[in-house]
Amino acid sequence: MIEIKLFGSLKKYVCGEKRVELAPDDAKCVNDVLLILQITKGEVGQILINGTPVNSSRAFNDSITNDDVVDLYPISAGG
Amino acid sequence: MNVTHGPHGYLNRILRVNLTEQTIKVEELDKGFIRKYLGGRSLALYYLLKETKPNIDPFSEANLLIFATGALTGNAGPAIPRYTVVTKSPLTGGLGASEAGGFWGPELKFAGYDALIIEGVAKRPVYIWIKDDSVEIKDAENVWGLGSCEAQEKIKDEVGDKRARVAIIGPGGEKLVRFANIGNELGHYNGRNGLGAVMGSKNLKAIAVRGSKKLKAFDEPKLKEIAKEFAKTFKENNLGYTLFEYGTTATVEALTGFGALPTNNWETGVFEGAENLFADVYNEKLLTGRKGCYACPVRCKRVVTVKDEKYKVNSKYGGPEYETIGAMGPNMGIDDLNIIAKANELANHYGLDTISLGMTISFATKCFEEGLISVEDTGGLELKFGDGDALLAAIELIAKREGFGDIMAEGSHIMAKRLGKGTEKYTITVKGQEAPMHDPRTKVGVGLAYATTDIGTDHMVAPHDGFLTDAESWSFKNAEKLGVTDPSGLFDLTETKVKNFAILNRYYRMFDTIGCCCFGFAPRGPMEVDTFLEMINAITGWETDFDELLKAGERSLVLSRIYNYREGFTAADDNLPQIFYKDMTDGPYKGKLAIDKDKFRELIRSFYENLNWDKDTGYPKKEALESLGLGEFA
Repeated sequence: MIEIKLFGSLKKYVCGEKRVELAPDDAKCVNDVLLILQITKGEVGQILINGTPVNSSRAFNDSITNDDVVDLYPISAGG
Repeated sequence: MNVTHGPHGYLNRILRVNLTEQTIKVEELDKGFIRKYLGGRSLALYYLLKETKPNIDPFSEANLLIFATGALTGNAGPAIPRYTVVTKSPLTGGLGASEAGGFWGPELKFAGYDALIIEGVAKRPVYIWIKDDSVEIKDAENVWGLGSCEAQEKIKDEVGDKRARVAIIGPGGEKLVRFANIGNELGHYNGRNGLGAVMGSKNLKAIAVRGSKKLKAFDEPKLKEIAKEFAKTFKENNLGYTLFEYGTTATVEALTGFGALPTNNWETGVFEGAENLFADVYNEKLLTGRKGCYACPVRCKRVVTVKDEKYKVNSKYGGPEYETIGAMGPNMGIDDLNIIAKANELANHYGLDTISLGMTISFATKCFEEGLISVEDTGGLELKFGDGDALLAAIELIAKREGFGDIMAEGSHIMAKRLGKGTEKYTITVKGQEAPMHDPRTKVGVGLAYATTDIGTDHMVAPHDGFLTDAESWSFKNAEKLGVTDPSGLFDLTETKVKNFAILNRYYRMFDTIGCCCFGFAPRGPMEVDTFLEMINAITGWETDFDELLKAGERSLVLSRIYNYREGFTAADDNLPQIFYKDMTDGPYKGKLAIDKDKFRELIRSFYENLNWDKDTGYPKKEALESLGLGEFA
């Protein structure tokens, strides 16, 4: 399974949960994760795969596989 | 629709109080003045430039302290409660300016004034009591020396009106701490630049105001419709939802993802105890209520209770916001929200800017840990990262200017100059003001803000870069209506980055003049820019557009630049602290993200050109002044 960790306001997309799991067959890249969880791209500030920042700029086409951990952080907004 | 003549939403009246002469005057503004300058920071700058001489001592009788509302302030719409305080800053030696929300600005307008100019110095401590047309300078001996809460309550008792609104300084302002602030209603602060110290230097403890007049909007039914719809729907927008649910505290989590949470005086961006400061922990551990500003349903302010007796707080002072959590928490190596809440309460009691306060103590702590100062310098105080009691003790010393607190009360920039011994390398300041809790290596537009803003490092001069990274995002689509055409990546050092920043810098400066809170309106807040424009026109009847409004924002940027150059600043002061030209030391971006110094300098030159300023000197060209109707300041 792929573990998705959500931070800040992004938790609201999964009813306030901090973690969810997705099947590797359903989520082959970061963009799949966003689509499944119905997270708007513009609300995501930073994504880490196994602690490493994604390299895709904002295309979110980075591959993920079984046992990966994907961290989704909101925009750092200031104030 | 209101068909009465005269200004709508504002008043064209200024109150002038001379504390030396004990005189009070009311002046009318020229018709068209507010539409040109919008009010707020621009109105105040106009007078500061006209009526003060260059190179005065900020604490001298010659300095002015100007409170100015915007054209929208106090009207019955969301996120328009704000006012500015402007003076010459004792922290930077340049423009001192800071905005606050709350209730004081609206009340000044209900009393019949757009702005208040304070001149001179009172012989003894006083406060000003404004009740509509009645204005009195009253003895403040009874409240001088008291903390903000106690003093405010006494003043309300004395004037016999519990609903009076009070702008006030704490003992820190009285003691001329160079980063003392001015608060209103114990939860809203003109926080930065040491404005409270200037107020203290004038022996002015507070300004209480109560008004009975109703502001007349041009189209009341339209304004009501917009306000009602916003109140009903703002939480459907993620930005509105987050501000209500968490205030600004969710920023801790967002920055943790980058390894960019300033820790131990910015030694690293990775803080082991960060999870103890996350927004859900805050809500569970501290939060007991939410507060807001006049007529605004967002209620982004926090009310907190601390269960631990040792750090019990007066809940009337509100709870820490992100900047305070950052400056007093990770930046001091502290992961206990109880201690941070206590530090916040003390800062508000004494009237001190929490950013400069936390950053000055972290600077001193770094110097201590590096052996550059010792207990002999600190009078026995052992400064250590992670030591909450040392933090709280340092706040007390600073507020009272006792012992080692006297030099810390000067702020880290002046303190380092006095200490010498190579301590300057541990300051993180621009133009003498300490950095807020955002690392510009992870959002380069914030770097442009830090470097070019005339009040010194400021994180509130444009939406942060994350709002402009995705062409399909709600924030970006709104920004397009302001002239932004292309998205820009967080770390980009490109012309697009400059262009986006320059447009939105004008837009945010427009907020600071017209009386808006950036949390209300896109790209950072939940109201769409089209609706925002409708609201401006419903209040003023101007039938204006964003071309005119952004030009007014630009006019304000030019005025503050003229002021700063008059006081001796140059393009060389538009720079970043050295730390940001080096790679991140830890976290997911370890060994990366150093801002290229030469490229960054080019971006600043490009920013100058975007504003039609000389690309070498950074000074507005004559054509720029003339095109903005500022020829008289050439």
